[in-house]
Amino acid sequence: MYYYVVVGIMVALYVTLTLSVNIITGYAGQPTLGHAAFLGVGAYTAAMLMTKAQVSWWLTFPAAFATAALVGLIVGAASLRVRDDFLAITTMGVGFVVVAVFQYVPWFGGAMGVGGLVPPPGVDKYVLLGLTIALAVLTGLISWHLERSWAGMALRSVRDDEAAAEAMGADIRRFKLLAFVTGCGLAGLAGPLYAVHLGFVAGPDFAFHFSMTVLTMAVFGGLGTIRGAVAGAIILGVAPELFRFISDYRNLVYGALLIFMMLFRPTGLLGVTRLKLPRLLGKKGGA
Amino acid sequence: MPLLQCKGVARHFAGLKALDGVDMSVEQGEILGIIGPNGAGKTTLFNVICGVYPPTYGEVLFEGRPIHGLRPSAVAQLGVGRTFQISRVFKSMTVRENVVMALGKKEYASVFSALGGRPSAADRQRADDLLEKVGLIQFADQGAGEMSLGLQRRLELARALALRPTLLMLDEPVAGLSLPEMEEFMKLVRRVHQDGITVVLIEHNLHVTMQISQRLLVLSYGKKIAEGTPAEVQANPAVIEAYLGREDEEVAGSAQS
Repeated sequence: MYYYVVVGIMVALYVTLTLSVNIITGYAGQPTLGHAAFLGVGAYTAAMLMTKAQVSWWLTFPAAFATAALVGLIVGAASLRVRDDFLAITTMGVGFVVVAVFQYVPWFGGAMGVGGLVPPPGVDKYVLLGLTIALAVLTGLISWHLERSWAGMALRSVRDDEAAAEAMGADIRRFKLLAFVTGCGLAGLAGPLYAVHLGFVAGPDFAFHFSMTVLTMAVFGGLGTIRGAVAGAIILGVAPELFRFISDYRNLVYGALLIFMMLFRPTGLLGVTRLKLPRLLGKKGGA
Repeated sequence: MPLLQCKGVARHFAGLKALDGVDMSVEQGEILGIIGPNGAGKTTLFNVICGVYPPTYGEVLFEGRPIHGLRPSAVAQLGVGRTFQISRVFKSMTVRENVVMALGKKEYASVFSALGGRPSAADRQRADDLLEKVGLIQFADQGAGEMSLGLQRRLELARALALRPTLLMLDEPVAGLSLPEMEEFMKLVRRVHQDGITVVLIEHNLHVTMQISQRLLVLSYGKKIAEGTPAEVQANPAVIEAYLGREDEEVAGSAQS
């Protein structure tokens, strides 16, 4: 039973992360290859507050959200200058920088990371599972509201055609920022849960590989939809547990899946939109 | 006071003077056609007015207020609706959603108002009314990207009308359309004009432009070379020269084309 709870916590965290990357890449069409770094920002915010300032774990949630949203705002500001493939590279770079800061700045515990992160009394793995599911549901509800609002309309129009979105009166800079701040903030909110679930945080845990896992889930399930993000996170989150024998080849399988989906079903299992990476993937006519 | 005024508008692209001191005024309620050979600066003028790029020199006034340097979204908020030369419908949305999106113009003025509300049944009804008007109602639930070019142009028109514009700017609205499609589209433009919307259109097709415009403005190499009624412009030697070349260049001109 305990095993299922542990898997459940990870899958619920994946759902939150996939839904949050879906706000940026799915709704607003802005590719981001550094999303795990924002989980890292949230997790480290919690870890530092708990170990250095003895702040209650519960109070680290708003701080984790705020810090991740703030870093998201900065990355979002960069996204106003670059598009598509350039933005993908930029966000990848942000991911590297964040991980490097955690890893090499001694205050953040250096290569050893920060350990000894225990949840407050009363929060066992079952409660943690409940909380991670609650966060996934909250992220789903926020996505649901966003999708149906005028802001959701504006984001979809930005994804489809920025010049036309502007001509309809939507300042695309504001809406791109909205997507980044919301998506990154929600990823950060998962940080405190992640931190006490594992008991320690370390920079490399939030590296490119994790970002790609989350993006693969979103693309596999189908970008631009809640059902796609949830399905992608659950299927690819549970699959490695079911197929233990291929767990050594997990990255290989994820990579192959991503290529397969791009070639044969670019909208994902249940999605509506394609990942915009024309040049990286060598689309015809690309430079 | 003219609805729209351009005073000495210039736009340079790294040494190329795409627009070189253009004066223009558009009166409330008229249809103004902007014509000129390829590369004359027509679309650049459009883009400067709509805020896509700021003018290098000069000013643009809308309802007496300077609008040069504003973002395209701000210009749209003030009541300028536009269509694009290359179709720019929202391809992943349905035809109806395209129009509904434009109906949210006021909400997009702030992120908070955009987050606070959502399209209502009344908005969908209003979108359907506009689709009815441009003859696309039977395609309302179809994906916008799957439609023919002619229908996409009409969708762009419906979308621009959803902004409730005072000024409608059409960038080569009939380019690439068949003759019947062209006539159909121009009938629509006339109907829009009768509803009290001022129209500025760029067109390559002289025949169409002459027919629909009350006044014409002719651009060549970034400069205004003539202005007046279609009959006046047609008789203007400078216009004939810009389009057909001078008589002693005639041989060279026809060899080029």
